[in-house]
Amino acid sequence: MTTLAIDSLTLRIGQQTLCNNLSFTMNSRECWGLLGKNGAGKTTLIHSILGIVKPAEGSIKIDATPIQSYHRRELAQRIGILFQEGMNDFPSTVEETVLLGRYPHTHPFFQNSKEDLNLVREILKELSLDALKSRKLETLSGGELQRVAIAMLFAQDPKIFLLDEPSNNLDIAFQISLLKILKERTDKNSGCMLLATHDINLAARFCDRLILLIDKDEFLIGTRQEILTTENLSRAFGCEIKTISEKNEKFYYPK
Amino acid sequence: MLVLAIFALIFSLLSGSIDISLTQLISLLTNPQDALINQVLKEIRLPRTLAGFTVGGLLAFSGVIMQALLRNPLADPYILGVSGGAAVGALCAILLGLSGFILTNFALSGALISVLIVFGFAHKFGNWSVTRLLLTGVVLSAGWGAIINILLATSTSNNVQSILFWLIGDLSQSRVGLIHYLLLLLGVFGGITMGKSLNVLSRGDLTAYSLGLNLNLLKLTLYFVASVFTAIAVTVAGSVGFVGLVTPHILRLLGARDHRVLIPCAILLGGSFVTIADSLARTIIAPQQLPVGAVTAIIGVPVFLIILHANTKR
Repeated sequence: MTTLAIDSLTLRIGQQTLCNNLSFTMNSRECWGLLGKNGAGKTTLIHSILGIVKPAEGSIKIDATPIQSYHRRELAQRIGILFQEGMNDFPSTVEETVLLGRYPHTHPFFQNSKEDLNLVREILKELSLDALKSRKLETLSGGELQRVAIAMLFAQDPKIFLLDEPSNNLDIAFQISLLKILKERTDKNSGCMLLATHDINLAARFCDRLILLIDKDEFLIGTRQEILTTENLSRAFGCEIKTISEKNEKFYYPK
Repeated sequence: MLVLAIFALIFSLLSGSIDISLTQLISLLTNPQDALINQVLKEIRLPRTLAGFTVGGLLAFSGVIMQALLRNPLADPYILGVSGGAAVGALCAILLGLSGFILTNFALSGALISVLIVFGFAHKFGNWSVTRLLLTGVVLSAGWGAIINILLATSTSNNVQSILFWLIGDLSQSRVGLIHYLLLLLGVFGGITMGKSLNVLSRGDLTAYSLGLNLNLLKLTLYFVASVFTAIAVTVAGSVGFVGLVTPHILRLLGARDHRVLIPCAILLGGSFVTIADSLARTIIAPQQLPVGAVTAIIGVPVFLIILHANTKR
């Protein structure tokens, strides 16, 4: 069982307040969505859960323990994050990069074990990166790089997945299959995930609960049915959003 | 790499203004009877060869670390102003007519002052921003450069000659001791144990952080280790250029991306490189000598360009 509890969290960047007094609890096997327009604070919120951004007020607890009380490596075993920006600095092959995901699981001084390597090979297969494993990162396309980052996150094998725009650069088919794989993973190891995205339809399809950031003092938290109304969405994104329905499924689009 | 290193060491022992053949070297090991050759080897060649190898190893090590720390492939051990500080220290000593031990201490103090200034400014706000560190270092280097120019412009031509040799890098006065060998060993050991963390760091701060790396501690360690290694190398031989920049690149282009392999290899290659360069510096216009720093650049540039070209074609 894993829980992530956010309690009366307030985030500020400079003088600007991004979210005020936000509280929610993510339980095992739940998939949460985080929606809001550009600059609403989605990325900042995700970064604060990992401790990259220090909250102005409030607490963040994993399994009832504040994140500050964890050793950095223990924390990395529990939370993994998919960043928006790339990691393409020094030359490295796909397989080497994904293997770095195992870093929190062995002492830094020791070599990776045979099991680590086997695990990485399985993940590469699962994400159809098999054929690319010896390629250098700088030769990959945007979508392929995003898949490598996801593979690295799988190798890290955290309980809580924080995903900042996971569908960036991915084709439609892979977006869907990725979220299915993620859901399987979190269901199997009783983890959970928080998904920051612009794609309302993706969130509607996969998320049980949603956080909709509307304004600096205003946000909505609730089930998919409660949050995803045309009225709420139109207010949050500042443009009129309409729906069409097909076979009991709603689809959202801007007017 | 090990083979190359041994070859370089022997090559250096054999070359100089007096010719010594390989058979003479071997027979000397079994029974030292030729007094002159024995003396040349033991008192001149061997210390100089070891000094060259050590300096090269230290600089190549610092080069790898600086590039990983600043995440900038153009970084070299001197980029943060360590060599400038050392040079100003050494020049002051030369101008005051001091030499030997005192000059060494002046250079070391200059280097360490430089390290602390950069650290003080870059660390002020509690956070290690790479850009900030780089900017502080580069600006400070420029400041040292200005002081060097002033000192050069106002000194007598006699002093200018020795100052120039110092600035370019010269091994003729260099001696190394136990502490230097220990540092090199420490470098190899540190490279193997810290290599994995460096690999993670190379993927960027955010990724490294999320994988549980203690960023500030690691960066602080890297900065001080690289700076101190550079400071010591510079104190031994002046600012020998190009080794620290080009050695890591050559190895990366040859496929050594993992720091656990890269660091020990860089120490061996850097050491060999300076040793061979210094052998040439002694022989090309013997009995006159060139400063080794000039030779490292003259060999280094074409070798690097060739490898780069071959690599992009593939």
